[in-house]
Amino acid sequence: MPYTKTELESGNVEFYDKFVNKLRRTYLNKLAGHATSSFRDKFNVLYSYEDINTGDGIEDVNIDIPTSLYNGLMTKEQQKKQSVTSENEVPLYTQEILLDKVIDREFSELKEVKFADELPKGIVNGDLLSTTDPNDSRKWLVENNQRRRFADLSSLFAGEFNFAKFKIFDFKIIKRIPEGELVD
Amino acid sequence: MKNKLTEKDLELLQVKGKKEIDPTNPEFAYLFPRFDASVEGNERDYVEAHIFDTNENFLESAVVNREYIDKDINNFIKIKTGTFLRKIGYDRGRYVVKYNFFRKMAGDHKPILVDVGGNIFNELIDSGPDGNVTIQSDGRIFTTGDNKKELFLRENKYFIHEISESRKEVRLANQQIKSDKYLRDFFNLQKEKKRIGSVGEIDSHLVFEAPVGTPDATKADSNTLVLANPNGNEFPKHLVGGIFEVSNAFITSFEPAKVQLDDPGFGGGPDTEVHPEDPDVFVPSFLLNTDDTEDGAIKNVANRKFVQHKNLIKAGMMKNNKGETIQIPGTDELIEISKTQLGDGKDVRDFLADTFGKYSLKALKNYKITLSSNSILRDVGRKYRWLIQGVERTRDHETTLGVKHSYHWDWTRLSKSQVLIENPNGGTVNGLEFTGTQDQAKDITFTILAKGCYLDILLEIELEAGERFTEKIFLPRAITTQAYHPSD
Repeated sequence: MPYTKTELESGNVEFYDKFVNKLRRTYLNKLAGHATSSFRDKFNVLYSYEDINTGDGIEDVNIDIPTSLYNGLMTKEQQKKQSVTSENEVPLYTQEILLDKVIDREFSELKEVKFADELPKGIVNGDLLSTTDPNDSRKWLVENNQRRRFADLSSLFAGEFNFAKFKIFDFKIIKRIPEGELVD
Repeated sequence: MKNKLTEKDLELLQVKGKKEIDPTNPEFAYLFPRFDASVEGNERDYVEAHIFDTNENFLESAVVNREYIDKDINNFIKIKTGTFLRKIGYDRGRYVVKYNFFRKMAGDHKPILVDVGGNIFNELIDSGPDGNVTIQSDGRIFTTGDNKKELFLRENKYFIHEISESRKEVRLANQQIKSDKYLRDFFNLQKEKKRIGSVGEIDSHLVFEAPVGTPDATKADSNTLVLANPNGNEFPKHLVGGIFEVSNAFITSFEPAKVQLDDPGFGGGPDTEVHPEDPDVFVPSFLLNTDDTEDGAIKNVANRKFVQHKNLIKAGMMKNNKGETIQIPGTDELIEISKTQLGDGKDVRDFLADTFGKYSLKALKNYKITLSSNSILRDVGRKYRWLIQGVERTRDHETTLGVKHSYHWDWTRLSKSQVLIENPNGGTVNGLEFTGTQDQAKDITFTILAKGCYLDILLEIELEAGERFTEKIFLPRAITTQAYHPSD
């Protein structure tokens, strides 16, 4: 009758133990050999070894306890080399004007900048605009014959604007002024 | 680390000779906090792996689980490549793996569930038998419970709206996802300055700290802010040089828009209609007009402002005698519920009796009753629409050989044969609906002609600016002629 898996792994089947131990020894010897070269060949290719017990990598196996399969086969420092390390930090690039000089970051095709030839009656540059719709909380600054929307109300309140220049118009009129960039 | 810039551009743009970076220098703010995609690290950082065969044919990409990432004392990022690859199925063979170190500025690689309105389904998803979602065989996803909603899987990303002719420029746009973070992150992508707000959450709640060592000094004298939660997010270094803004610092108190019942002392609204300075305040309400209601018509006049009815709607729940919580639906749902009281609608009738029915005005039949609007609203032209709906309960006796021996209750929908609406000032009466302008229909006068009637009353007001400025109040079981007898 053939052995069951449990019987084979019980440690009482001598030929099976020998077979397994031979495989393990070969594997662990190979591992120990690669540990001396930080698990890398001359082309810096990483050789990643599998933990016999878990099937994961050996990055986290405990090599200190005497009963560990890996005890004495590699040092802690060598074990760390099973991980890939990014030793370079993110490079620093200048964010100054030079960046825009070197890399063209201006939009020219998808963005059309328009200015009103003439602002609607009653509106002048410097005005702050709101619509007549009480449910519409959008506010705009009229500047350079464009309307620039405030991203949110805190942008409006944080800026030093003259609230006396607030004017309320129907959005149909406000819409006649070309839209510029958001107010920062 | 490879760089995608040309050597020439890199030469010009890379800042060299700075081993130690000043984290307070705004020029390098984009580097802080330092990259850390480990379990304890920065939530926005992650490592993406591209896996190729040895001929550099792309096989697949995957995000590296945070458990396989460590950051050492030199800020170097260590990835447990062997474990990571084995976990995703690459347990043997030779592969080329390229890692990308990303910081999410907007969106996420994980998809999200949204409802038809674009609201994100934020609960932990459980599709088990008692879970919060069900997935049908055709792949459609629904929430469970009484309020079933269909959910849609969306990528938490932004889509390319347009590519320019030269293919050098793209315009991105957001999806219809109602999430402040989703939209704000997108907005912040194109901003050079970023506004960081404290919204009073546990991690970002700021408080002034009274100066130390100065006798009698209070928080009012302080210019030192501390995070209320010591375990919350720290102030990032790149805030140095920023601007601190205290919104509404000049406000010493705030009176929210009056919902007629917010203030216990408010007692169901004012005595008449009022027009607040703030034109946005619009609170519909009505009360029993005792001046124009016949004497003796109502037994419990103290309830004339329907305070308990309004409180129930505001609270959205109540406890019954057994201590169980009864949920009170919103106005629109109540209106619909009220229409289902006939026939098999016993559950609805019981619900209304156990909730609003406990506070009904008890009325006598054949007496004139007047209700008046005591709404808080803008002083502009407006239209009023009153609608009375409800049921009449009558006893139906069963007889044998002309002898009554048992009975059951019959329920019929209210009609003008049970409730007669008058229009002394004009306006239009159509069955149990009464509409008109302010002069015509600010008040409604009616007579209940039968005993055993339960009246659910709707008042809808439309400001002249149009339907968008329409508000309504609906009080189920506002008045009943069931429990009041002339001899009481």
